[in-house]
Amino acid sequence: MRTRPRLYVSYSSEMALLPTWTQKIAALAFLAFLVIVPFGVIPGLGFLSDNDWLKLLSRVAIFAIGALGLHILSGLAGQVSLGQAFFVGIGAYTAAVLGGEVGKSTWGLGLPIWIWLPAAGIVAALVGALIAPTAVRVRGIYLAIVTLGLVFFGEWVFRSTPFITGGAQAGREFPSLQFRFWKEEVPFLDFTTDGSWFGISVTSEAKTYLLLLVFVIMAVIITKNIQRTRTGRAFMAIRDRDIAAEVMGVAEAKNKLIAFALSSGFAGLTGAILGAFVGRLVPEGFSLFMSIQFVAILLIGGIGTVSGALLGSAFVILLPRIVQDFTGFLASVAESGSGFFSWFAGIFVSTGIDDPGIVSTLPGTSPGLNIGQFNLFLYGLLLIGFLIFEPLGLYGIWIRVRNYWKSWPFTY
Amino acid sequence: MTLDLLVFAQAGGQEAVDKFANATSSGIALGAIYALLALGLVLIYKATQVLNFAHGALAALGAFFAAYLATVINFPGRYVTFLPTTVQWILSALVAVLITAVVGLVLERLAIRPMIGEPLFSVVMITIALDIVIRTVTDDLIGTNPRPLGDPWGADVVNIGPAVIAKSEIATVVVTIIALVGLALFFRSRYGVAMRAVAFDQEAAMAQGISAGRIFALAWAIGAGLAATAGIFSSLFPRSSIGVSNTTAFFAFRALPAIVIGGLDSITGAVVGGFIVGLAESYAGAYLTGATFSFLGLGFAGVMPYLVMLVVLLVRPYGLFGTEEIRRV
Amino acid sequence: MKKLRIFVLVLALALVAAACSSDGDDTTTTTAGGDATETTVATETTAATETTVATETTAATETTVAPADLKTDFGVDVEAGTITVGQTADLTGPFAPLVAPILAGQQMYWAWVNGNGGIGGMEVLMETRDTNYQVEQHIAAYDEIRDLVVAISHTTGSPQTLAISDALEEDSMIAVPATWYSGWTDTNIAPTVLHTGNPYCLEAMNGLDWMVSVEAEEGNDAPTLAIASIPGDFGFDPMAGATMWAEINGIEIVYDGSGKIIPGQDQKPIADAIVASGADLVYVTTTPTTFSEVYGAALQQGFEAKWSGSGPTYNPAFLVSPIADAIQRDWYGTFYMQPWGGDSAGMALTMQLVEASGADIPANDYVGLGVVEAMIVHAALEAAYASGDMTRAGVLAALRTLDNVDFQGMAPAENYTGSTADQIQRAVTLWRPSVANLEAGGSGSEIVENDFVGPTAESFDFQEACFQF
Repeated sequence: MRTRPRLYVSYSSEMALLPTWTQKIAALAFLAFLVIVPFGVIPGLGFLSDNDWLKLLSRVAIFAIGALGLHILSGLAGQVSLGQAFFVGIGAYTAAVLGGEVGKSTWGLGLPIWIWLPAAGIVAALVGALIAPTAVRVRGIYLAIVTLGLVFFGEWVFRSTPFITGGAQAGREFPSLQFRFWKEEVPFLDFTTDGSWFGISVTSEAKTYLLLLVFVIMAVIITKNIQRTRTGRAFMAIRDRDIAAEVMGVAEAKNKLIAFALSSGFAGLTGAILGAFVGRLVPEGFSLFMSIQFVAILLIGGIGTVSGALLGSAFVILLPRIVQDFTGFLASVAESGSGFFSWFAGIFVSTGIDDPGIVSTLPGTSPGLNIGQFNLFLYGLLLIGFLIFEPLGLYGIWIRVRNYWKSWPFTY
Repeated sequence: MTLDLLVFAQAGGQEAVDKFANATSSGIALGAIYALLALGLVLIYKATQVLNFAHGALAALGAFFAAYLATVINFPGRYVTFLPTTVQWILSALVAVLITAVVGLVLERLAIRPMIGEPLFSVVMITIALDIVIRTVTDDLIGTNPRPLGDPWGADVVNIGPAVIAKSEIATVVVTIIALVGLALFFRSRYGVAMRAVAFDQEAAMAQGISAGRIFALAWAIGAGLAATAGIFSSLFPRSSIGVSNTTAFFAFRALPAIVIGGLDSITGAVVGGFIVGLAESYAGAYLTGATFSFLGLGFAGVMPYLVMLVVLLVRPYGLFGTEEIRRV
Repeated sequence: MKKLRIFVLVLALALVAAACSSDGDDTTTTTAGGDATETTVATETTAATETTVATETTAATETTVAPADLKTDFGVDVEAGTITVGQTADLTGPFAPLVAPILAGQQMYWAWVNGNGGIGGMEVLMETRDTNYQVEQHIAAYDEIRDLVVAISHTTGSPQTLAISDALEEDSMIAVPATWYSGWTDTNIAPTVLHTGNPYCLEAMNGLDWMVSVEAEEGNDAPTLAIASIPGDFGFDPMAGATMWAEINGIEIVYDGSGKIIPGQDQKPIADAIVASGADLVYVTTTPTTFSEVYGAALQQGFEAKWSGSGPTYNPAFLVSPIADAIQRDWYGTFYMQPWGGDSAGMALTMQLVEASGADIPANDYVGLGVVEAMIVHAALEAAYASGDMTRAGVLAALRTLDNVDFQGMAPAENYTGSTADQIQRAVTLWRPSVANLEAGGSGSEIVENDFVGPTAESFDFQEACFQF
């Protein structure tokens, strides 16, 4: 029967990304869903078309691209890397120098996007390839610390080159998402202003979101393709048993170099797009915390899977906003002053100057964690929770749910 | 003329000697703190194969406990008022170290024990996540203002030869030596030998009747205690004149090159690495600054230890004293 | 184990469900005046201050504009009777110790305003976001609240505020920064960010004039100067002021460490350089913790000089630390308004609001700053209400008609009309750290002189920001 997912009747269908019709239709439906999100027509999820949510979703897309890069290096090739932030920074500043405005105190050549965006990826990939030989010589924890050192090295380089980065604390402007042929005044495709496509009016945030959606889909297809080629299989062999792989003819050094280069390339693209999206970045942003975010995305989403990178990215980026809304919701419940829920919420949230509570929405005077601290605390707790209870991450939870329903009602 | 030159050379020479002496003494004091941090990290790694990224947070927590015990509730000082205040403060610091050791025990049981056998990636991440959680809680406990530790040395300095050394720096070095001696004695005791056995070959040790779980717990407890000690001393004058604040926890990352240089599983290596890193940072700060070295940009002294680490790794991939890994295929 | 996993799942779902259901109304967080009792105590004790603050603008507050006629766009909800003001504040970063009392001051002030009829009968609510003193987080925080508020009553950090200044201009949103970058007075930079008090570069000139006059009294007529700072607008602006001051007064700068203090790095090299230069005067601008590292390392080498720096460099916690004695001897402090305990009706009101609220806030110079910030926004909102236009552009326009915003003696009156030169504030308050003051219940700042204008700052021709990238 055509719908049995594991029955492959031809080589091409075995290698295909979406082998069965069910998967094809599901993928298309999901894609359609993602595309119509900014138009606010989905019942119940209409709030997603608000500008701030669209910006959050765009951020999810940007970090997903970087996470996919780290997935190639850590998930496929098994190399622990805490240095992703360094390559993101390299890509960002390459884009800034190539595409930035001419004549300001920071370097900028004013080149169009079809030069600075690929260049960001290529330069970052080259730097990754340069670092690779050193990284190959160390393994395990030593590699983690060396890549950590890369981040600190990067911080030093970025703060010591104010003509490129704008200097510590100050930062610089980044080229924006506008498509030009060559330095002309008016771009032929502009994602920074509101406009209308096919008669439907779209805000700039919606346009940016859709563009980033295209980028993410391209990144996902590239990653999935890497996974099913010889190089991808070589990566997985190295991850599992690198000496045995070498014995079998998988050149360890060469493949690790390719893995680093690819991963840094993705990171570089992420940096360029992040700069274009936010508009202004400071060199301190490319810190250990950003590297940890990428690792956390992979771990929470499910290490070793592409869907994991996407799910994890959505979770990690949307978490602060959800916590903020949730705490606000609890605060309003506590305020309403009646009933069990109000009392329970009152323990959790502190609403007045003297009211004790675990979290306080009023900084300064009430005891308890403020919202920023609580966000961080929850982030750490959730990471620990996932690592201990669900090492396969969100993807693992999804698999569990799917398997449960697959074998229902015979769930044992 | 020659007399003038001689006097000038003498003055210049004296200045150079002063500079070198001060750089060395502050390098040794800094190295002592790094050595304490490195010792804790290596101990934990040796026994449980986990690199504790939460070390800095534990250090800050220990410093907070010391500040709270000494300045806010004066425990156990208020019960032993017949003792001089210095001893009272030392007692508070000891109690703080003990409390942090207990915290380390709890952490090991709750968060590390379930991660035995998990891939390296997850293990690295869980300590990073622990760092985030502990740091947030510690920041909240500390409050918005930094807390001085109320130590008896304050801002006092002594002149030893050409160098001007703070009394707290001398205390740091003394405590590090005591910690080293203590550890050396510990490794000769029953539990110490058991720990060495577990570090060497876990299964064989368990076959001999050694409880690996208990050893893990002990390693984490001692490691956390060492972190607390380092945290307390890094929050004293002149390193941090206003005590423990929300930036104290990040200090421990500067000690990571020390354990790599020394070798991740070598106690001697940790100490040697700590002092190398402390001296390297201090000399880089003293000599590689100024107009002639402005091409080195800002804050090069902080990157210097990582450069030294890189050079060492290229020559000896397992650190100076680390044991080479033999892997089975 | 399994139960725990289910619990985690349920928790996650609950979070998502709550987020989905609470998109509209929850975002206005709890009011600053939720507790009725605290405000009545305030009104009972001071009859004098009750009415004066409400009439600080030239427009009479009794004007009642019918709700239907009031123009609003964001942040003002006439049916619910609420006005929301936002804060993008550093709650968890290096300036958290200073921001916490500022926001406390604002909370208490708005509670008091609400207790006295609010603005046009509408209650003022606060919407705060943490920025951790990071530019990106600051931008994101502003993005989150930009459609919820009618004005920003507090934003921490010069580079951070500069980063959102374009967005603020786009939204016509007024913002009161808790930073004193001279660019805020320059009408060409960030037209919607409001200046308060003496800008950093003039503050440096005033501080240095004071120190030099004390040096002259002690017999040293040609002191040397060392300067050092954190990079960014916060650091470079006062350094520009100090450099210009040195040029004008013919003082030699023996060490220039502008932009060389990097938080998180070892500060001993900077301290060594300052000591080696042998300067008599030192002007440093950085975060309080980093300053303590520089100062401590210099102190260890037995260095003695007169130290000063921009206001936020100092933290009253220094007075209970090992450097207390030294800082009392060496620090020459300047502040943009009256420190705690100052002799003015505004300060009396502030101190009284703190006492009445019963919150455990130690005496702190920055509580008054929060009240001053809130007073500016209050004046703008009242003026806007009186003119019938409480859209954000309307509030901005109303603000630009205020040429004398009075703070009841707590801070020099502000003028938001006219050219750059018209709006510049030249006066600071001079103070010295004092443990005795702290022990007597004050904030540790012993006021030496109010409204001091040094000769250099007096004659300085301020046409544009002292420092710009």
